[in-house]
Amino acid sequence: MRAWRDALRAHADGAPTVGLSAQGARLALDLSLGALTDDALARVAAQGGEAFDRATVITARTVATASLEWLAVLLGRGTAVTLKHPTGLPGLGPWLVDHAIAAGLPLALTDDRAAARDTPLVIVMGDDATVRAVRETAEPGARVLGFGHRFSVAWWGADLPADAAADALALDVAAHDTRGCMSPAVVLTDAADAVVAALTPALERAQGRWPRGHVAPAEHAAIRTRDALAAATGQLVRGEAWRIHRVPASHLVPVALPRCVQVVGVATPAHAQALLAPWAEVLSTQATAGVAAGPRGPDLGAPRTCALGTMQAPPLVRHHDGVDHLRAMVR
Amino acid sequence: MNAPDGRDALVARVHAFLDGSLRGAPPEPFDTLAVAISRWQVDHDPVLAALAEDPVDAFADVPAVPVGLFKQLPVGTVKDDPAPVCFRTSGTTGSGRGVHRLRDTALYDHGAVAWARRMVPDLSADVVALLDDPADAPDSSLSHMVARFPGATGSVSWHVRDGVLDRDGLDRALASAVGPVFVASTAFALAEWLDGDVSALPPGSLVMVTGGFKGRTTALSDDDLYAAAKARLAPRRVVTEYGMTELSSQLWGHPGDAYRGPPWLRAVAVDPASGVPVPRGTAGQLRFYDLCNVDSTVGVETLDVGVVHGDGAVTLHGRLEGADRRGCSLTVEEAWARRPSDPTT
Repeated sequence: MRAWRDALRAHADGAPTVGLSAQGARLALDLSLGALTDDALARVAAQGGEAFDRATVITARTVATASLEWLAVLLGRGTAVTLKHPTGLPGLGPWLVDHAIAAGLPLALTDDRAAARDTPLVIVMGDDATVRAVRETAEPGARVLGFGHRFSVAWWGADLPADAAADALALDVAAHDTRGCMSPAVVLTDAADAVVAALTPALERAQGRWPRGHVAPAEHAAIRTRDALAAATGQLVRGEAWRIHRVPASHLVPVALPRCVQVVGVATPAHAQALLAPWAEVLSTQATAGVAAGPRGPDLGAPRTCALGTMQAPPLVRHHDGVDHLRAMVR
Repeated sequence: MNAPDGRDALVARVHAFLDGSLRGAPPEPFDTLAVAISRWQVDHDPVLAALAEDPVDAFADVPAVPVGLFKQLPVGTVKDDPAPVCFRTSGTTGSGRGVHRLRDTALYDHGAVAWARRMVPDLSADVVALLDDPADAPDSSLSHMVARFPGATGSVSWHVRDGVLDRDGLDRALASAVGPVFVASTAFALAEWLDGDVSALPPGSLVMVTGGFKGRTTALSDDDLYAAAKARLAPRRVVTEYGMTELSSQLWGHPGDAYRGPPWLRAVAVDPASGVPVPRGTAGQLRFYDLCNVDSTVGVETLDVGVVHGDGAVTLHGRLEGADRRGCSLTVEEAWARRPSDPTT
């Protein structure tokens, strides 16, 4: 496993960028590979239980590196894995497979959904319909772990150091161009003016360091719609390739857009909790642990809590959307 | 409930523009009237005021409101709650319903009927609609428009209820027809009808098809649908209509041909990334500028892609590409499904 990880690190600059800028793709890979520490890999190897002999990992239009942690756990326990990508969208698949084979790991690539049908363990990432379809076609007795679309949220309290918080949040926004389920779809704050003021230069700095990649026409249209909403109801700060959309709580829709930060001011932490209650089941990550060791924010109900700047860098050994994935991947 | 000062005069100018342009002699340039309406709208709607980046001095300054905003804010100058007239989008994609708020439908009716009769001069007085009855769906702009087609002497029957095609009622209506009929249908309802037993329409009948298969499942492409309609219903011809809830005016065409809008509706294709107009003949994101949208907004930005030809006709290419480029984050549809309230009503 270490050889595979090290090879991926060594060749990261040659990996497909999958719609991100070269710097953005490198950032995404660095964050994902950063979770594969020697210690984490050793804990995976020491996990009790019997490994499955075969597994299929289905990535339905998720972020390019989403499969990496699953592959690390499965391959690390000796499971032979087939990685199924969307038709015509191999993403990082060929690159991951080539280096896995070179490292002697049993990883194969396909775009055939039938690959999941005779597999005792299936991990599927995609929308609810995809997860449901895979469950329905999996072989009887197969274990299917489904992970649907989610969103994440950051809490930025008035007691946080503004500049450090801004750069940390800008990193979370830049990674995957905000398309990941751990990207901050919304920033809740009791200090909205200060947040907007600090974020503006931070997003510009992030754009300079990790330029935004390709944005699809429909995404541009969605950004313009949110531009209009923010301009009409709150505040719009427009960079060349980023936005701050400050909107009132009544207009919160927790959908992340590329390099856009939705800022919602709340009077109290309790207000923030009430605001997110309708979406509690689809929360992924809450950056409520301040910056590094700074003051913590309220519990907003997400299964994962982290500090600003680490939203897109989850540790390998953790619960994944509330699921103990190390245990789930052994019998 | 009173309209802001200046509305009546603008409405009168639009009526005059409609009548004059249909005679080939509009009383004033399109741009002049569009700017006047937009400037008045900006003065009376804080939403539009926020979107107008510069004073509206020229056509290029007229703001185009993204259709998605109609789902989130009450767009336009009608601030009464509820608005006297509310047309709502279907919401078939599960992402909330846009609301087009009007004070009345006088301009809408005048323009819609006049252009339909110009483009379809043989539009029969008897209409068979594969649509919801406006008595059941008063917020459907499509049903509202089709209800006005028969005029004083014709009739209209409705054959969709709660989204389900009333096949028996449709058969009875056609069996009792004594002359040609005008069949008005969405693409989806027509496909469902053709999926079962059908007979040829009375001689001289027309079939109007509007809309695509957004959010619905069907095995037919548009071209297949038109071909099937011609083969099995044997109409004199099939006509196509392109309209939007957020617009008061419509475009008409024939299968395979570009859509043609009335002189009081202008289409502009823009670069989706920048919003800057692209040269005519080049594909882009479509914006429409509708003089009949006095109560709401002259400019509307759609999510459709098309080519605006040199003569102003529009070839539709479909929806903007890349709505699925979202990674694993929550989609608009998924978020709206859990949203606690609708802010537009």
